[in-house]
Amino acid sequence: MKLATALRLGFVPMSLILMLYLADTFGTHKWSDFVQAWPLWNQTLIIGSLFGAVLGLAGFWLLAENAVYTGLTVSAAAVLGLQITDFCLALSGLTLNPLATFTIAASLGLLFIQSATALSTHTSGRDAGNASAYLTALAGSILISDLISQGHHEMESLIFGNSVGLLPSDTLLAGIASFILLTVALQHNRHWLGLVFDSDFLSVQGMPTKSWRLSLTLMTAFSLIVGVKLFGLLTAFSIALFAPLAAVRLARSGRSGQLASFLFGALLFPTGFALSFLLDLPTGAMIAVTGFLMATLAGLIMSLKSRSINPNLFF
Amino acid sequence: MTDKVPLSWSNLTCGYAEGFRLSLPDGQLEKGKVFGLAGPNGSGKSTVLTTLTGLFKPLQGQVTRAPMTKVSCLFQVPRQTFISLTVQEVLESAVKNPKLPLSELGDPFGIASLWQTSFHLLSEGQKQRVLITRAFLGKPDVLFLDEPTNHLDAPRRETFWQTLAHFTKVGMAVLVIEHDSEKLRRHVNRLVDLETLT
Repeated sequence: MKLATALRLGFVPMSLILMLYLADTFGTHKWSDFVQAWPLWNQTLIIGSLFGAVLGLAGFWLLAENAVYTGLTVSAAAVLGLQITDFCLALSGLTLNPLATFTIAASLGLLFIQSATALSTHTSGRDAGNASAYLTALAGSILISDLISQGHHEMESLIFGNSVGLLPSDTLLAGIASFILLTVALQHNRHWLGLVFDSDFLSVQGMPTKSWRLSLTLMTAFSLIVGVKLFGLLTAFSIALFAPLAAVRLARSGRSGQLASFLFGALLFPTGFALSFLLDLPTGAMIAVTGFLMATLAGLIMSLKSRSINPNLFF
Repeated sequence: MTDKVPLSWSNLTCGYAEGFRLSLPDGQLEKGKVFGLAGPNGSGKSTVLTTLTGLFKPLQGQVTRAPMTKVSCLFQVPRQTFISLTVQEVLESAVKNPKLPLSELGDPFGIASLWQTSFHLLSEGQKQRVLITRAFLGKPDVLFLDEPTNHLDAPRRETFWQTLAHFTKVGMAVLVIEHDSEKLRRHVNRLVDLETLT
């Protein structure tokens, strides 16, 4: 990586440190209090940083595929899948292994989005299909949560992000999922870059573009679903959107864009979490706002150096 | 299908079930020969190309490819993606380590100097040079080229036709599409003008 690229990308961690400094100076709590309470949230921060990196990488591919809205819909479908599973378990009185529960929930969510988009795509286009699925998933989740005792609390966690409440099974889920998803991403990196650039060229060459696209879709979808299960929709999707958005604004190649998305994703969760503590504000929303500031500052610095950037690449 | 004919088509009708359709006379791509396809906008050039490359299924008839045939292509410049890829990364989509085959090729289109440049920051002519180079890189048996001289200046157009002549001499089978049949006639062994078919 060139020095100029490294300096440009280094701007993001610097700006996050500045945010922390300002929050420490003007906030309700002090940094020293946060460090003192480290044993309380070390596990949450480690998982948040690890899976934040995975979400950042998944988000890079969402941007590359122009599939951000589809990703948001998948996240909403994951909320619905988790709610339906909880409801069925509550109704039947059964208890399941958390990983089995998660697998069922993920499958239900994916099945829902597949059906909903397939029904509406033919006549009204992908955006309309996504919007229908997104709204129906959220509405359905709220209605189902109303039927479960403690459902409202669960629902709030799933949508707005109750990241403090991680269970031991979440650590296992995050570890296994990170390993699998990063292995798949590393193996397919070159293929996926070619695919998002010019899939027709690869198809003509006889490359298995359908299976590559399937692996890319599954990698991004499962990253988001696990992210929603761990941190809630708002937090997970904010990391998946803002970390790569800042990265692709500053990076000048596919590889540096991926690396930066990964690193920014790893930084965003702990920074937003610490800021929410220092300012005494809700965690999920604080992570989202931190991500927005990070991406906006990255856009600002690039627009100041804009003689070499195509403005069409922005929002 | 013989050793000399890596791709052929027969009784071919391509297009859309409820819309444009075009029947093409039976034909084949032969090793060491350039097949030209000309026609104005909307005459179905790209539809024929996507059918022969296998991206579209024909409405009728068949396209036959000899086993183990390596195929490559140049289409119009791909859609803009949100991320930046360098020229190196674009070429890596064709071959794993593009530097070696590029030096074997002799870099006729002068893209080595653009190696680390973002593809989306290149001029249209530079993009076309990168994509032409990518099409040649894997030394395919069959090469499809859709308006390859678009955006190229006169010296680069000449370089392109010379490079194509070199590769056909060593046995590549080529199909080239252009608007202008007169321009194409000088460089091909057989020419079909789609305007005369519709």
